[in-house]
Amino acid sequence: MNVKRLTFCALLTAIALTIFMVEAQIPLPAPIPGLKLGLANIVTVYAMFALGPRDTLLILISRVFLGSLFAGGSTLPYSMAGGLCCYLIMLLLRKLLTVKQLWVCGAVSSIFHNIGQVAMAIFITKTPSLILYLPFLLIPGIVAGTFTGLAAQFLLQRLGSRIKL
Amino acid sequence: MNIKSNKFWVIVIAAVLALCLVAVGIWTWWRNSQPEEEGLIAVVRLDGRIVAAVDLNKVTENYTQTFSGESGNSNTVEFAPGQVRVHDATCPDQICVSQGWADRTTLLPIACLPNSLIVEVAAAQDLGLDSISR
Repeated sequence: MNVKRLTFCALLTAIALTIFMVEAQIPLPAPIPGLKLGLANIVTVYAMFALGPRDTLLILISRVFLGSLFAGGSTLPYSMAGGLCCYLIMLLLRKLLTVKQLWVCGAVSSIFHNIGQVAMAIFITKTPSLILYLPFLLIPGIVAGTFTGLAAQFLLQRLGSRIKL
Repeated sequence: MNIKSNKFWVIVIAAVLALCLVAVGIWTWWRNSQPEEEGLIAVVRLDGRIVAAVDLNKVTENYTQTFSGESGNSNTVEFAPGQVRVHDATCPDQICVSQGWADRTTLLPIACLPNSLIVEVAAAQDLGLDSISR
């Protein structure tokens, strides 16, 4: 990895982390654990299409790890499970979607983020009925995911050819 | 239909959304249509183990019990006739406290993920916990 690329990855991680911390200050509309806008996913979707899988994994893991460190509380396993599920489906979507379809990537990856989150919660607490949370997370998640994907799409379309690594 | 077309993805995403709405609808209907019966159990799970199972119909006066888990944090659960809530907690987000009272018709279990604490309310026969509650 050359210095320029490394710096760009670090910059994206810092941006994602900033978005994550600002988002954490927004009050939840409903007291549902795990419910959030997921704005930091803009960076992940953008990186997946602009930089490729390897750099995206580094950015994602750094952001999730540092984010849980800054936010406090032991929610790291949930965010990590969600993040990795989201990442795996993006590996597939990357091959299928064009740069004008990043909104799809946002929506679908948010679905898988929630699935990963809930699966980890069921595994840790050994409470199968937590699956009940899934539809309650997915409905707002898909809406928010579509918009974060769209944000990444606009970013990629405007920034695309100007970033040369 | 082409997997790369917008139409395909709109249908997939709309289908998942519709499925979720149906699931929420069915669950809401089911929770509200259950007959009131004896044996309304509040189950408290901490770090994956059941640490309390209380018959809420037998509670006559409110009382609290504090649960401390491996995370080092603790939640104080308040049991009342027919309902239960997390009264206070040492977790950073306090979502479990703001979830408020859970009773027979509440849709979601109370969950405090930072502390790995779950409070579920269900009819005794649905839980299969008869041996514990008696």
